[in-house]
Amino acid sequence: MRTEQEREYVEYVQSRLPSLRRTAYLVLGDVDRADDAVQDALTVLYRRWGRLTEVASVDAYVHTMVVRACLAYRRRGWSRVLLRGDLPDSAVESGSGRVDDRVVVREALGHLPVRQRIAVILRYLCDLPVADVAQVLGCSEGTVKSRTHHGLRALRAVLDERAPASVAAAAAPRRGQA
Amino acid sequence: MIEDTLHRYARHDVPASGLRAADVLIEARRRTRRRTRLVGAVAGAVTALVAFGAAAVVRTVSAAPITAAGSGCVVELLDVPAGTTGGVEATGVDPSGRYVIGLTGARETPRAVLWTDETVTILPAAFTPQAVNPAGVIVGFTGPNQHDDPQQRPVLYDGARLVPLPLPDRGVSGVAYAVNSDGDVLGTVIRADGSPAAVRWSTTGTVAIVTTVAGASGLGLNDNGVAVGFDLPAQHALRWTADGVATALPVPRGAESASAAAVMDEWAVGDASLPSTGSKNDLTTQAAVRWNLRTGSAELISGISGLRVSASGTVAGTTGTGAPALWRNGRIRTLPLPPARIYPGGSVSGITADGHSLVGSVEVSAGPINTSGPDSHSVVSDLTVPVVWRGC
Repeated sequence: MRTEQEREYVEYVQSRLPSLRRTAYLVLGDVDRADDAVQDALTVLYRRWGRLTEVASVDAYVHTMVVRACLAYRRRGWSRVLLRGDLPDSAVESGSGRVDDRVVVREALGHLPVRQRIAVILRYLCDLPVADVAQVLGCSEGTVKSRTHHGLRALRAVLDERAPASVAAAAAPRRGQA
Repeated sequence: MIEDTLHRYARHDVPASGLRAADVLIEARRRTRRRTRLVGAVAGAVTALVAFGAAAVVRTVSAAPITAAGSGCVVELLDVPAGTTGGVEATGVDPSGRYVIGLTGARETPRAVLWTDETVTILPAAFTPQAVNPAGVIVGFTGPNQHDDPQQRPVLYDGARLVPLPLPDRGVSGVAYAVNSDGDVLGTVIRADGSPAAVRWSTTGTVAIVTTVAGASGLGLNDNGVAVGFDLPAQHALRWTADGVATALPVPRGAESASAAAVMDEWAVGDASLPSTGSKNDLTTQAAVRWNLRTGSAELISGISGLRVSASGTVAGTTGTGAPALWRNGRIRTLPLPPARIYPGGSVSGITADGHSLVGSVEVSAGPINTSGPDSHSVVSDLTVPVVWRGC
């Protein structure tokens, strides 16, 4: 790759790395596996960088590669639990509700079927447009809307049902909160 | 609003890691250079590289129609060994269909599973199985089951003991990928400088190295002693005989490159790489190439990957949407999935000689499990489970 192209590539990677890592982490639930998947996808991107001029949305293109790399890891059986229990260990104000959200939402996401879950993650956690989510999942925009609709409805039901107990469980013994 | 809750959740930090843009570039360069080096190594080291069959029949096939397999084709979940807590995947079947091999355990500590005569056992020797022959001889490797791990060593399991296969000159690690009916083994050894060499071991009597082909990966071996291979990152598929004379397999018209993954009887199969169209659909395109080693024909089969091939020429792989499928007589047929699956796809890892039975894996929900620790809560886990397809 020419120097100029490499500079463009690094600039692109630098600007998108946080969102790509976030996508992979949300799908895999494991930082190391997520980084591996992102590196795999960005290596393919590196090889194809000079041939992307006709790609309408490079972001969707790259997200597709990252999600497919994540699914490949899962199919290899290296990441059997989709959403893991290791929360970021940052201080949280007592009574803020943030801890409760994380535990409950993650648990609720974990109850969705895989494709529904990925549709919700890409659409609402990664903020990808419906058309891009359709591209990533290899389905129609209507299917994406249907999956996210059902996914949100299922999430609502789970959150309504579980929030009180989870809030109580999460608030009591954690991180020395008074 | 549920949307607000999700947006709040999305704003939480992803745990930090050492991945930086500069590191991504360095690693991408390294992998790309390695791929280029492999191509160069093959061109330089294989002295008898001759275009296979100047009169070879090369024809192109447009995307094959995809339909579901007929009602006679059924999927069954294979029994999981007692006491197994993690996922189990089927990784191969012998051509007769009597032995099915599989894998379980963490990738750092893989364990081999064997199904035969309606029983399932975890083999006492710890290794990752790659192939099994009609006599039940299994080959694979010890060490962690992760890409390019330098601790991997090629091994053969003869039903009672694990036999280490010797590494030829300058080899530091390796994997045995195929074993034929005579017990000859084919694999790949990695040398200290990182370059691969395809290796053929004769295992009749004492284990001996028959030939090595520098710069190549050995992946498939048939009962006539014809080997095929080369690694995915490279651009050439090869075949070679026991005396080490290597011959390039032709790239079918319409493909940019092709790699051979498996061989049975007179058929070899692999993945074809199609030229970029600039479309995002390039990412989901699957294409196989099937070679007839007797006639020299190369056939591009669009719509399915080329993972395995039967003695009758049936190709097993997955479609662009990740569905396990087979190709026969110009048609792609997707294989049925068990009702308990949670992902609309799966993997195929083996096919019998007659092409009517296949093995592979799908993912099913294992139900909620509780995490341990002070923030214990319930999450859904999904398990990889082994399956067999019959009557397909």
